[in-house]
Amino acid sequence: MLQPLLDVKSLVKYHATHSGTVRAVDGVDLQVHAGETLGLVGESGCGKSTLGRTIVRLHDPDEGRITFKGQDISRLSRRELRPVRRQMQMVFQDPYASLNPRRTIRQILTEPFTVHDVGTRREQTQRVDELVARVGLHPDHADRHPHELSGGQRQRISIARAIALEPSLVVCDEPVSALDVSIQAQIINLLRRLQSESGSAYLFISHDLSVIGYLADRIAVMYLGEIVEIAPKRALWNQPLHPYTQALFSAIAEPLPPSVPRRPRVSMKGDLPSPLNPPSGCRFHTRCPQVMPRCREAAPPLQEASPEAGGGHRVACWLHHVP
Amino acid sequence: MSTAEPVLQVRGLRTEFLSRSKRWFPVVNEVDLQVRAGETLAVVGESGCGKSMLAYSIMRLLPKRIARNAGGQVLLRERDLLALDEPQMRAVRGKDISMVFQEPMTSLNPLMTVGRQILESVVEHERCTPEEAHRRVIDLMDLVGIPEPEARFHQYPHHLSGGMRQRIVIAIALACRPQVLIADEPTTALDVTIQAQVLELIDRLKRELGMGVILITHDLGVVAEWSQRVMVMYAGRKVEEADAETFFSAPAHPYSRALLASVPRPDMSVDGAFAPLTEIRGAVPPLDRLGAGCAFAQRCDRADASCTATTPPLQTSAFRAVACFKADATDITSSGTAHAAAIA
Repeated sequence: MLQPLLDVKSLVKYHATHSGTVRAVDGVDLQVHAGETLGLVGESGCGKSTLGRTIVRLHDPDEGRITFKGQDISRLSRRELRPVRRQMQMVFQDPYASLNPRRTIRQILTEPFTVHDVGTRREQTQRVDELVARVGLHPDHADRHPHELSGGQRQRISIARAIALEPSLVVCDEPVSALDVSIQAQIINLLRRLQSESGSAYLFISHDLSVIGYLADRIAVMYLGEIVEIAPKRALWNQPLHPYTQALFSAIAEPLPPSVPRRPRVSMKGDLPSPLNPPSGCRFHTRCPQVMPRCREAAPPLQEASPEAGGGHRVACWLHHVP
Repeated sequence: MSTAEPVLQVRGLRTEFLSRSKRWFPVVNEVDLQVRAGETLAVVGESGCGKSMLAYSIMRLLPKRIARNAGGQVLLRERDLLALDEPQMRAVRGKDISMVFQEPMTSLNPLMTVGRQILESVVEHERCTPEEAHRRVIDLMDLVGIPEPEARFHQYPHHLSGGMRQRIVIAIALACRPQVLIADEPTTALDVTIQAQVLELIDRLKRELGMGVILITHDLGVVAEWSQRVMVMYAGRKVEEADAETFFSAPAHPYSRALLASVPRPDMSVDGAFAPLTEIRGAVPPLDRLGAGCAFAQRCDRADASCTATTPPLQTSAFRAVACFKADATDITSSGTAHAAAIA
């Protein structure tokens, strides 16, 4: 198999809080291949945003390795990271908070070119005009300020900024969660179109399974700092193996006539345990409808669920453990 | 379906806001609705379409300085809430009709234990001994599924998770067993699994207590799973209303159709072929600058000159009501089951 674009191994990121240390990302392994979309899904507090931010090195990892295009970037200094950042960009949930309110759209979009010293002034102006058009905005928008644009238009600007230098990986952290459905559809279509034009890979982080299920080629499910299941979308959709994945999928509310049968609801007990003090063994055992004595004692490894079926579907659950 | 008597009837409701240029303009425009006991009516639409304004108008919670009622009735059983003075309305609010808001943290007092907050709404409307009141609070906490209510009574909101906080808010809203509960995006701030638990709770309590529920949401999936009737609002007006089966099998208004087609679904792309989502071009127009005719016309693929000339009236059949000149006659008169049969 080809070398992955991004290879994350045993990644750990702690957050120090008043009440102790949170292992927000606790031993994550995952890979993103060139041109694909990996969806990362989980509930609030599971560590998915921390994982995304650590991958683009907005946080420094505490343990583990991040290999991007064959280069270990987990310990690079800010200066050393600069050329990597050209290749790896991020889009955030709240475009208003991530755009400087005092600058015009043109200034915001010119910045990637000046920071990385790409092109002459005139070329930069031309590239910005192209970007504005590519994300579906009117040329006049370039001379406005972020507050003069709607939420959807602002998100188009954040996307334009992220793709300005044609990165090979874009980490999208809940990019459509703050938008109305009709606007959400516009942004999703835009992301899809840009990907087919440029061939960038996306790590798409969301709590919304419908969006992830629509966009992703593969899906990783995260729970309390760990990946509990990762598989091609179709395999995961048709046959989720981890009881947590099953519970998540069964909670999706689909806009279909009430008479259409739904997945049987798999209910979980209680709330998400505190990440300050995660449960022993399998972290899901306190809420799992199929918990066994073994689950309390030891953590199941993330392993191939059906190696004979071509592989690619990995799950961390004692129910599916192959010795 | 439900043949129970309507507990809430809204007739011709019109609410106006004061614009910056000191002109009154409608944010809720000629809206009629009714909710029966044991029924959930979903009100859907994008932000800015007037669904929260409708709820606040019914609850009479809008600031007088910039908002006014400009017609219509809000009948709770036989009583017109719009005719009540403020002290009378205060006695109704929280007792006969209650509201649950989107963000539980902002509707709870961070400096008061959750038990005290539920207690307040019990003693506000009912005379009872302290022991009885305490008992009622524990029962309510039990009813909304809060484990160890005696211990939780003394905790503060920040001790609880988002889902537990929303349960407290629901317990407060239900303290006096209201006839009508208005839930304004009650689960938007919550995770999917917790969302399902909270909606299941509202649904169970609705049946047990015989309440009518108005569920305001932008999430059409939630509507499909938890409501019996659907009302779509656009620019302050009701543009479509139907039972849930009819609505989701054959939406008639172009806005309803476009909304449904813009929701991503995993099965749309699971077999490799990838259908782009339907986009609705543009955005909801600002309500203080609405022109003549149908407010959706600028974004509508079916619109022509007739749409911008006059406002389409609601055409009503046995199955639904639609305000559109371009909806086919069959769209208006067929039910969901008839539609399903036609396809089969």
